[in-house]
Amino acid sequence: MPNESTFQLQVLWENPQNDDNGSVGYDFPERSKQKLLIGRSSKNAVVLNASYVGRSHAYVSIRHGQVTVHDDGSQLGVQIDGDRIGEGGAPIENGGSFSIGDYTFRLIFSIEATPPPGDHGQREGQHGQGANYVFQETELVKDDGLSKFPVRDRDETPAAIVSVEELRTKQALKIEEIDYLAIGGGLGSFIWSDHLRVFGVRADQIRSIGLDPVPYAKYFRLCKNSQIPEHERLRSNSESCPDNLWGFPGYAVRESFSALGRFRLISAIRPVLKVFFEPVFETFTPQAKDVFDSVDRESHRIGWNQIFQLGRISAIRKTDDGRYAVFYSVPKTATEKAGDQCVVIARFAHLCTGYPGTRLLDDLQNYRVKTGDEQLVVNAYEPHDQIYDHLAKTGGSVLVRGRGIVASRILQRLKETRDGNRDITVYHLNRSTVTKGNKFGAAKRRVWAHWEYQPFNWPKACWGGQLQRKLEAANDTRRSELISAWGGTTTADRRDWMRILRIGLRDGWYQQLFGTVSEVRKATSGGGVETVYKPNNSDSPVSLKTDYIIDCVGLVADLEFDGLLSDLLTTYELDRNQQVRPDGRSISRGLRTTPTYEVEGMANGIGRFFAAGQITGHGILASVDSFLGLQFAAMRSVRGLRKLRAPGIRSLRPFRSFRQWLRWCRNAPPN
Amino acid sequence: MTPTFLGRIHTRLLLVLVIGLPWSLVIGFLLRENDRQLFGLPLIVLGVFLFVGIVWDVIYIAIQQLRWDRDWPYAFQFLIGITEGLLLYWLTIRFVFPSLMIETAGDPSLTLFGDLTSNQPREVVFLLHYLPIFLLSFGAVFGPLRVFLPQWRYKGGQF
Repeated sequence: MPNESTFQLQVLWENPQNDDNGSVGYDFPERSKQKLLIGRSSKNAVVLNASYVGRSHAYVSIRHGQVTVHDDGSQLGVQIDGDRIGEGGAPIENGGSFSIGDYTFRLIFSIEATPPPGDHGQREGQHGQGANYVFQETELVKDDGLSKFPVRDRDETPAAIVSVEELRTKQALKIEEIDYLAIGGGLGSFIWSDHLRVFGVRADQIRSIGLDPVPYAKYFRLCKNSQIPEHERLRSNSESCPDNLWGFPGYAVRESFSALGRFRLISAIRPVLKVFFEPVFETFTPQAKDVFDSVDRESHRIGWNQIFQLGRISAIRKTDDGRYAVFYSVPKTATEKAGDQCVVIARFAHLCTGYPGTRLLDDLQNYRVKTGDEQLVVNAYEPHDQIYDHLAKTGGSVLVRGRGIVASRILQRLKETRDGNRDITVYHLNRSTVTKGNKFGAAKRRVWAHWEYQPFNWPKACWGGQLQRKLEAANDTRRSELISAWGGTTTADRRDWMRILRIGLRDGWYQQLFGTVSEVRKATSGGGVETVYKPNNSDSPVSLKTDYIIDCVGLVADLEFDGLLSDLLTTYELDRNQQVRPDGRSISRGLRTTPTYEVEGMANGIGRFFAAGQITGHGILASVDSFLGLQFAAMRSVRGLRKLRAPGIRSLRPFRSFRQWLRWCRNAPPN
Repeated sequence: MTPTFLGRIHTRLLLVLVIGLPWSLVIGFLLRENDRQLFGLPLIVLGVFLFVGIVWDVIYIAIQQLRWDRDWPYAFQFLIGITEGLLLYWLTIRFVFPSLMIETAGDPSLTLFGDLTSNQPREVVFLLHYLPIFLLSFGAVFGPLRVFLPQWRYKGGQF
C-alpha cells in the first residue's frame, strides 16, 4: 500500500500510589481498526495492577485522524480533568492525558510517512525509531545553494525584552510558569534535569521542551545512520553513564553482573578485567542498547514524562520581570503548521540543542546543489542503508571521504557487506597522509596505516584531569593551541577493526588515495559518480569513478546554522569562544560561558541562563559533546544554582549523595 | 582515573584518614609484644606510608606525563600498591622496629589476639595491617568513592 502513513502512539502511565509506571509504543496503520487495550487482564497492551481497574477497562483508538479514548464499560470509568468521559469516547490531543483511578496516562503521537516493513502492532521501548514526520530535522542542504539556514519565518518576532503582562492578555497563547526550563529535550536537557532531581528539585518544578519524548532519540538516529546498530559498542567510557551522575556502577560492572545473573562466568569476568587493564590491552566501551536502556530506566525514575513537553521552539527571550520566555508550538496533526501557540516562563533556563545539522564537504555540497542527487553522494549521518543493500546485491565501488570514528564505522559496515558479496571495492581519499601523530609534552599519539588512534574522542584527562585544568586556566590563544594539539580526527584502536584494515590493505579491496579534489560530477556513462582530484605525488589530475560516495567528515558545529541560536546570538549580542589560528585569525566558536556554564550575556536580573553541549564548544571543556562532558556541565551548573540559592536545590554532601545513590540503586524516585 | 598531583595528595590523605586510621587503631589495639601493648606501631607505619606516599606521588605524576591520555590505569594503581607495600615493609623492618626496640631477627615476638594464639611472624602482622588498607583503598577508588564525593572525578581527585 503505497504512501500509507502510520500513526505512532506512545502511551506513558504512572501511578505514584503503587509505583506502577510504564510506557509502550504502538503503531496504527492509517486505515486500521486496531485498538490499544488497557485493563487488568494480561491480554491488554497496557496491564494495570490495581483491583479497581476492570479486566477490560478502556481502549485507545484512532478515528478520522483523531485519537480517542473509550471507556470499555468499566465501573470506575475514565477521567479527563476530573470529569468522567461519556459513552462515545473522548478525543485526546497530542501530549494530552487522562486518568483511571490513581493512574495518569499521557499520549504522545507522531506520524511516519512510510510504514516500517511488516511492523504493525505493539513495540515496547521504541528508542525513538522512525523519523518524526511532523517535526523534521532541519536540513542544511538547501536547493537554493544557501549554506546558512535563515532565521525561522514568524509573523511576529518577539522583542528583545517581552512583557509578561502583555503575554497574559493574549488569548490564543497558552502560558506556563515554572522554576527550571531545559530547552532542547535531548540528552543535555535530560542530564541537567537528572542532576536537578538528584539535588532535590521536584519533577513538577522542571519543564523540558523538545521534539521527541525519548531523550536519546536524535543520538540514536545519528548512531543508526552512521552504522552503529544497537548491539555495537559506543566510543564511550564505562564510567560515563548518562543515567547515573556518580558514574558508579559503570557499564562494565553492570555487564558483569548481568552475565553473572545468567551464569555466564567468563562473560562476567571480561568487562571488569577490561576496565582493570585499560587502556593497556583494550578499552571497555558499553553497548549502545545498554546505554539506551539505562536512560529509559532513569527517565522513569525522575519522572521525565512529567517533565517533557513536545513542542517546536520558535524563540527564546528575556522577560521584563527577570525571567526567560520560550515560545513554542504544538501542532495537532501532520498538516497543521501552526498548532497551539504556547510560552513557558522560567527563572532558570538551560539550553542544549546539540549539533545544528549535517553538512557535506564543499565539493560534494556543490555536486548536490548542481544535481539535486541525494542517493549516490551522502553524508554518513544521513540515512543511507540503500547503499549497503545495493552493494550486497550487485557489488560495486564506494569512495569514502574523511577519517575519524565515523569513517571507521562505515569501513566496518562495508567490510561486513563485502562478506556477503566479494565484488566490492572501497577507496579512501584524503587530502594528506598521516605519518606522525600529534605531540604534546613528552607524549605522542599513535599512528598506523594513515589513521591516528586514541581511545576516546579526546585524551582522557580532558574530562576532569590535568588537561582539563590546563584548558580552563588558559586564555583564548593558549586554549586554541591546546585544543589543536589534543583534537584532530582520530579513531579508537580496536583490535578487531584494525584487523579489517590490515586485511583490506593486503587483499587490495581497501585502497588509500591522497590528493586534493577539484570537482565531483555525475559519471558520463554507466551510472555512479566521478571524482576529479590531483594526487599528492603527481601533477596531472585523476578521475575516479565509483558507484557511491560517503562523506564521513561529520556534523557541522557552527552556531549560525541553527536558526534559534542565530536569533539568540544577534538579539542579545552574546559572546563566543574564539579559536585563534596560527596566522592570528580569530574564528567564533561556541557560546562563551562562565565556569558554571552560565551564559553571561543572558543574565536577566535574578534570572540565569545556562548552556551545555556542542553549542558551548571550544571553551573550558574540550569534550563538550560527550555523556560525561554533559554531566560535567550539569554538575557545574547545578552547583552554581545552589550558590544562588535557587529553589529546591539542596547540597549533595557525602551522606546525602550516598542516600540518593541508594535510591538510584532501588530505582526509587529522588524525592 | 585521571588524577592531578594535588588530587593524588588529597585522595591519599582521605583514604588514610577514612580507611587507614580506623584499621590501624584496630590492629594497634590487638598488637602486643611480650606483654607490651604496641598501640603506636601501626600508626607510625601509617605515618611513614603517608610521608613516603607523597614522594611516590611525585614519581607517578612524572610517569603520567609520558602518557598521551594523562591517565592512570587501574592496573598501574594495583601494581604500585604492591610496590609501595614492599618498600613500606622494608622501611618498617629497617627503621621503625628498631626505633621501638622490637626485635627484628630471630623468633617472632609479636602477637595478635593476645594469649589465645602463638606468636606471629612480622610479615603476617604487616600483611594483616597493610593488605586490608590497600585493597579497600583500591576498591574505593574503583567506584564507591564517587558515590560519596560526586565531584571528585571532575577535579582530578581533589575536593
